[in-house]
Amino acid sequence: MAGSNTAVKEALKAHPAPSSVSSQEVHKWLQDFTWEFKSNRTKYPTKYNMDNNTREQFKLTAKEYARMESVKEERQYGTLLDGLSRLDAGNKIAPQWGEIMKLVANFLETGEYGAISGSALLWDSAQSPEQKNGYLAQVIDEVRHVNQTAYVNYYFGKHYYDPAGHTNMRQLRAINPLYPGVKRSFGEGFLAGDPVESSINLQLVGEACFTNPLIVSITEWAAANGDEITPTVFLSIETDELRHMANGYQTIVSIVNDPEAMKYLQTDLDNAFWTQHKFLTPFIGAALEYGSKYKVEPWAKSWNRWVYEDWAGIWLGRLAQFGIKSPACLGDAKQDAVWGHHDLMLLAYALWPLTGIRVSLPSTEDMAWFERHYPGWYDHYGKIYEEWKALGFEDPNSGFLGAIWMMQNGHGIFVDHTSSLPFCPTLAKSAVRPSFLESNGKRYAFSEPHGERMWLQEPERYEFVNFFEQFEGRELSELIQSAGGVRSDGKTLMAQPHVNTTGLWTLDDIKKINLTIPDPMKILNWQPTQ
Amino acid sequence: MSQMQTFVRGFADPQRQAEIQALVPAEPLESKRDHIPFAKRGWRRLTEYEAVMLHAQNSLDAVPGSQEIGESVQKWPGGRAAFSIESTALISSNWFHFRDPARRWFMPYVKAKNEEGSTTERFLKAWVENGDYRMLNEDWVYKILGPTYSAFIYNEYGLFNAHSSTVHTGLSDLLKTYIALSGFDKNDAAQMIQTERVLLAKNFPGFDPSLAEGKAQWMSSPTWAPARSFVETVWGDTYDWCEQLWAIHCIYDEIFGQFVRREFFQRVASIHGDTLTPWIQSQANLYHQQAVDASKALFFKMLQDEEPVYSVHNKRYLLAWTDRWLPRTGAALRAFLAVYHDLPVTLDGVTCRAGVQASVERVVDDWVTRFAGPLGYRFDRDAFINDIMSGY
Repeated sequence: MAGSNTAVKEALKAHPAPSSVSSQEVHKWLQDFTWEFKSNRTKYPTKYNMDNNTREQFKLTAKEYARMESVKEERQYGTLLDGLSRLDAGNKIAPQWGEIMKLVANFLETGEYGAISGSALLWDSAQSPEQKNGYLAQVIDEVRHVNQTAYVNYYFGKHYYDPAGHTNMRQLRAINPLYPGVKRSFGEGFLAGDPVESSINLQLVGEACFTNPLIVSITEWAAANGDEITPTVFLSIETDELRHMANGYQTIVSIVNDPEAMKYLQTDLDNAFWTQHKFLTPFIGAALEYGSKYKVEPWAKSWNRWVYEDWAGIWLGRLAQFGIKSPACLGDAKQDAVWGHHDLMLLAYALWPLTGIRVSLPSTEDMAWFERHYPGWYDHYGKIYEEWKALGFEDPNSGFLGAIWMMQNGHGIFVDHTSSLPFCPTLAKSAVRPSFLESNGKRYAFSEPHGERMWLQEPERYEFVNFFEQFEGRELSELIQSAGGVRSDGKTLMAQPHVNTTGLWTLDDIKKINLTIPDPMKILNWQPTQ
Repeated sequence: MSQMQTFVRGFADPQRQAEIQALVPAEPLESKRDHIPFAKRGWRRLTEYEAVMLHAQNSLDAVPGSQEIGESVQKWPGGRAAFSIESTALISSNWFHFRDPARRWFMPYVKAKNEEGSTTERFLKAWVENGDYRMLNEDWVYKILGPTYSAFIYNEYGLFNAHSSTVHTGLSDLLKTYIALSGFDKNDAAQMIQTERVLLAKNFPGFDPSLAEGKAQWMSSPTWAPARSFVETVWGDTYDWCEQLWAIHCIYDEIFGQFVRREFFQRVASIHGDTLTPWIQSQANLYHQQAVDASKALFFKMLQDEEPVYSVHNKRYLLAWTDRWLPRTGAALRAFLAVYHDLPVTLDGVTCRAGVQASVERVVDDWVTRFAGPLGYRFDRDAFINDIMSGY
């Protein structure tokens, strides 16, 4: 080593003319790249005042960014296409996990796609060139992440033993009752609204709060279940997320010196947290615990560490000096972290033909694990699953469908109008406090007061036709077929209520059930049964 | 006894893997592995470029070509949807029909840019250590690469910023990708000029790497005034994202940008012993070429040639937009020609009137070949060129 240092010194002595330019030597001039002019204003104005002199922490130039990212890409795709392909990694994954990744990869893709536009919104809004540069890097990162999450589905589609669903989830999701919830939080929540509000949704909550539990936890559970594909991609995604969290922090830094900011900031933070939590908390928990054969850390515990302690405590604690407090809805969110994913999965089981994946009811071992970590789980959920299994949940000849059982037993499924997610007031153990409101002759369901308040304040932002309204009157098998939910034999469903290789449901099995999609708001006279 | 569990890796642990294998079917459950089989391919086979992006957009079904059924579930205050077809006057029967001819997605894009960066690093090293900088005419360095070259940074940087709202608003996934990468390239082009200027400051005593002189020129010199006006208008005052892209890549950068980069900085640099500037600008020219190819795919192939319903409508708008932006582009170039009077070295055939006119004719004729001709845009070429040359 000493020898090489000497050689470098001698070389520098022999060639004194500086012959290189570091990226930092270029970046330090970035703040001077802009100029003032009359219409130099954002096309997407924010109600906040973003400081024109805000700096950005990572200070990357375009070429330096490409150098760093290129190395990561080579490692990632090299691992996938060389190492993991030769090791036949696609066929070493527990089936429950290989199935849930059909949804996880695609739903995350939706979030990453929304983040392209959300970051572009911020690039447009910021006036500081360094800040613009940071947001630009995030725009390109998000293009990367869409490509990566899509590549997970693409790779599974090529190498996993059941490609159906991995290959066409971009089509199947159109009829998935869970998907509008993704669109709400991960899609439009990142890009449709005040730019700073979008930043809070995307960077301060989506990334700073939920990236760790989303990406880190999923990679751990994936590895436990034989999946080395997902960690290869997701951990590479995670290496970009730090810069995005820093972007979120700098967004806040750029506005907090304006006393006017506090008029809106706490409300925007509270709304953003609830928006993101409402989907991410139950979805990640359901994916991890119900999409796995081998369990790792209970979701409620991971959530408590990453969301409650790390984000709400430490991360927001750093912003306390500016007067920012933890969201008021954090208590309800904590209750949701224990029960929300069980509630959501109950509905996913009930509506399984529309999910596009093979789901499997908890095994005896699973049930013991759930009861051990969530005392009271068995009496509430376990007994239902045992009854469903006895009634022929898995059997294509049974004519049984969980959704019909729920309706017959007075358990209406409604769509929460703010989060766009389905909920069942009578079977929920999470922080559900339903209300049913009327506006302009139409009735709306709300699962809790936080979302209801958001709707009351800005009802025009949540005007949409929900799943039941959209497909009311459509026969179930016909709906599945029209969304591409049938395998190449033209009859077997892509979705199945088990992960066995025999006893697969076909369109005819669904047709025999003769279920026409109802609108529960009508058949139950817009009120839940008690 | 400790309750701590040891993490078991399912892939590598023999017992767990044996349990998993017992659940893996002997034959795949599905034989069809075609990715996004519902999507229309742009080439004979689905490319990775399409596989990783096409139909990723979860748009509402009001955007023609979308796979979605339904609408956006969170709207802007006031009720406007996230992706709105009214964001542009152009109409498509399928906004997802666009394909970038260069098939750029993230991986090949950053790989190429990294290669450009690495090659540049090595070139700069050799350029300095071989003493190439000694060939440079010092007046060129201090009078042109000082203020004029840095003023051009503002041109590139302004055009970069004009891409932010177009990325946000672009109506489909592969469109957003092309727009985002084109914007990123413009930012890179601005930074590469500054990279060169920092290197010059290390080798030429008294060369000021700051942008002070350049900004002063950009803000107050008549040489740049129409260019600045163009950039400010297309960045700050133009709300139709297709119009922005057409004005930037298909008119202004094709005529003014190509002239400044290629005909002035690359060509004239050589008579001043400058081998560095042409190298740096060659990357920006590549980025422009890629943006042109993609823009032609959008405005001609997708919105006219293969547009079954609205091609006439679209053409009418492109003609009108050309009427709006071409004179401003001509004015920018006319004003810029004043820079030839500041040149330390002149050379017949290059910097004389005939030489400059040949340069102007090249960029205008290139534009006619690539854009005006295919569009059917009629204008008085000679009068346009004469008007530009009046600035010489």
